[in-house]
Amino acid sequence: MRFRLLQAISRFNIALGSVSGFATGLMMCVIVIDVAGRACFSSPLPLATEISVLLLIIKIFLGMAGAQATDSNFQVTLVIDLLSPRWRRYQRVFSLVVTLAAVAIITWLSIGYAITSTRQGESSFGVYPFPIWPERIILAAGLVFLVLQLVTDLIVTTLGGDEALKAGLPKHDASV
Amino acid sequence: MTMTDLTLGLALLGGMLTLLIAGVPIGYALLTAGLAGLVLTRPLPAAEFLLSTFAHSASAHLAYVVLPLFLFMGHMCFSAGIGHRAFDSARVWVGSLPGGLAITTVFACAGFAAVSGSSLATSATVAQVAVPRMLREGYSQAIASGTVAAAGTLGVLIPPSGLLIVYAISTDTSIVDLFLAGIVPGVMTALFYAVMLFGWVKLVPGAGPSHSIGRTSFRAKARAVVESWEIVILFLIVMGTIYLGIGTATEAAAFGAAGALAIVLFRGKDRWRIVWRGLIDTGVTTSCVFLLVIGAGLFGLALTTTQVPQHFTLWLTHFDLPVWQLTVVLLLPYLVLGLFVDGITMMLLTLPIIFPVVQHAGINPVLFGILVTKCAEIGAITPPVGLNIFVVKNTVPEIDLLQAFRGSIPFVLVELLIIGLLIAFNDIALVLL
Amino acid sequence: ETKLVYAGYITRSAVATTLDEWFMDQVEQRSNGRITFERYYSGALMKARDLFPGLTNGAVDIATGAPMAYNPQSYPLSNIMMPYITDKADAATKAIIELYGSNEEIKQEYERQGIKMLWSLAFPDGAIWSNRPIHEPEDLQGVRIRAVSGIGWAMEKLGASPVPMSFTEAVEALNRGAVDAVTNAPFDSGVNVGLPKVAKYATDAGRLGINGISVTGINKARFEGLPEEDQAVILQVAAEVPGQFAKVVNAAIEKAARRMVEQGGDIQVSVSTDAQAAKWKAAVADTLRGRYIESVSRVTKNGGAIYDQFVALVRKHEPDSTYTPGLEAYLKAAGKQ
Ligand code: NA
Ligand code: NA
Repeated sequence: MRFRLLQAISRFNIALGSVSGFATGLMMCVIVIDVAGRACFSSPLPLATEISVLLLIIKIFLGMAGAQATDSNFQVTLVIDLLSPRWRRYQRVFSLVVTLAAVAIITWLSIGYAITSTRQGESSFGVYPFPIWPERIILAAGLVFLVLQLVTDLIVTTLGGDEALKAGLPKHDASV
Repeated sequence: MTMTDLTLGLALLGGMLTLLIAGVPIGYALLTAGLAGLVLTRPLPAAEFLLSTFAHSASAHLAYVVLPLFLFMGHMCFSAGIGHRAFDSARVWVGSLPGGLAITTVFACAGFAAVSGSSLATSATVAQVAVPRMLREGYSQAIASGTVAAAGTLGVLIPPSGLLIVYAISTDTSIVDLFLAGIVPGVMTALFYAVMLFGWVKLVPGAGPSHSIGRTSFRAKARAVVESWEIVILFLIVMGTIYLGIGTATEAAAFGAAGALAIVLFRGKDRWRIVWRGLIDTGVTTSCVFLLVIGAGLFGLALTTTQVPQHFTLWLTHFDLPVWQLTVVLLLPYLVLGLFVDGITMMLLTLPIIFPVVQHAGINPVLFGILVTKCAEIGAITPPVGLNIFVVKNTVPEIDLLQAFRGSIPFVLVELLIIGLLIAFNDIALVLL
Repeated sequence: ETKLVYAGYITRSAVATTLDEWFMDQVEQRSNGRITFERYYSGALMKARDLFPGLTNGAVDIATGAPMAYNPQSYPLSNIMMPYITDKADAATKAIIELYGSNEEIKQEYERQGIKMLWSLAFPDGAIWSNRPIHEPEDLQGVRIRAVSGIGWAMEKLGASPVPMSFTEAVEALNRGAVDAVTNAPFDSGVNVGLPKVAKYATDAGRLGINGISVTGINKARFEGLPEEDQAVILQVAAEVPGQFAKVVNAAIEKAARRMVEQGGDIQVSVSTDAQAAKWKAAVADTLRGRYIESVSRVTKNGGAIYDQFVALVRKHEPDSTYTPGLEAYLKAAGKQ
């Protein structure tokens, strides 16, 4: 395998995605405890709302790189299915370059905002204050991993090792 | 509106479509076009600020928590083999009718739809049991695969529904109302399918066995209901929580997920691997869907700043169409798009432009959500991109795609009929609200 | 020629937005079209949390929002409109504007963010909409109530369980019984989202009254970069907005009251006597003042003085009030009073 480091990056991002998976379980627990508390003892779990949203952010953004690593994103394949393997590779390079450019810009700006937000101690205010800045950091971090994955995919595709790399990774289906 | 705004808006749409066709994943295509749009319509610092905050403000809402929770619930039900048991129970009830196995498949899908929010999962899960058996008992490939693909779409109409959640997210419509509004049309669709299948096997020679086979006793039927207790319980947990006011939609989703998890854990075999796998798949899917939601939101925002949606609304109101005609006009793009793209993408692509018109014209947003879902169902079983058909083909590789698409034609006609009925009699959808 | 980008998160029909529209129309007119506005309502450009940071950043030129609620870390002092101070929206509005004009520390809160505050308006008074009767403070024991911010503090103090869900979710939760009560909605928005159809009871809860304000600000650098005559027009119209407020808010309350009569069915409405109101206030006033002082202690030691100054200003303006609180207006419209 020529791309040991790159494959390690992909594997790391997929593992990160499982952290995101765990957030679902936690979310479920937080909400069930909150409702049980409210229904049975008239005492809801303080900050249940805020914690659920934090978990949602973890879920969405720490899972993005993994979704890219496993090529799970929704795609219109109508036209590219008709391409020869060689053109298919050009298409994939093009797609990755475009995506990388856009995501890198958004990532850069999100990092900037995460820093601002952290400096200010950005928080929300329901009944109790709850910090928002950790969400901004998690979001930016997730995007950084996504950029890393896109770079990885771009290098591997350009050098023609894409199929070998993906073959070594688990498969996922994103469907609703 | 200035000419440059219009040009810019159209350029944005064109650029985005080009990226889509070039195979850029949909979420990224939307992000890219949205980014370009904002940079072109806003002063640079404004664009920078919007881009730096957008991902968070588009996703940090408590209401969105329902999506991963229902995804997880559906996944657990899938892994726990609930689809198979739904099939067995339905078989005892309607299996003896002419075309009984196909009708059984419809009700098995309806049953599984009550615990899963996904049309693909419903098709896939029921296809495993139903299609091989139908083929063995003399049903044509067309009827076997058409039935399971079409009935699988009930997964997004009968609550819970991932598609309705996405509609709720992108239009700020009540999830609870949408879920309630899906029940009657969902059950109605299943019944219409059943009647149509009955007619099909009677009228078309070779479609499938057209005679009744031995009836089952009432006792066996009662036992079948008891044996599908998991579906009944989970559906009651979810809809009961909402309806009896034990909790909100978010909380109902958490209960449903916990219930489904409990079922998997009590089943024993391989349970921890199943749960682990379920959590990871749910994570991946959530990220993918929200990439779409965020991308579509950014694209919608860029489009808004070109004023194109606002003027589209004004333009359409000039025609002064009666509400039902306008509704039909607004649904046409969905029928066309449905040929090529999946339901979620279709909604997220179009709602920024279409939904303002819906609001302006006073079309009931809940009803419109159900109608769009109906169109998405049609899209899932029409060529060239018919995801449910593909899923059936994936599950049962010997199926011929052409036969499968041919088999979905009668279902598409039934769907169109139901859409007509929903427009003519809004109460079919809204009666439970 | 100047085009200013305006963004707000409040719905189009709300009083604050109506006045924003009036302001923009007037400015466009009086500047003979030199100034125009690109308008985004209901969070179409930015969500509530992003509005004031966006204003600081120059992503919008003019914004109406509630920075004390959504960006409490940057605007702690502005969170002064606590419940149980007054139920007169016009008096509260005059007091808040006077406070901003005279209190250097509050003014600094905006200056520091590069924002010039144009005006601030009280949201109409709130009520508790519930599925069980609430007359005395004791009736709140164990009640699950949707409440945020200052009312959340008050409800907690009175023994209720405040649940901070979103407002739309709250209406549904009340309808299905997942919570016993909902509060924090200005009367007119409460009626507009259909609370009278959902709730069995509505009460002024001992005149909990006004409990939130909206702030309209302009990016300072942008403002100072405008030609002087344009600045003058903006300031002139902005100064007239509070005068328009009384008229617009009274009309909005009357309209909402009539709508509530039409759709309210058999909802039971109760308003407090002076004696009852005094009892509620006594139960929570110190707590709220204390929580305010505590929440601003990070930036100033003068929290108590600012709070007292504000209350004194409210008292000064209350005698001239022409405002009828929402549920009173309803009782009048329904011929029950
Ligand atoms: Na479903
Ligand atoms: Na299709």
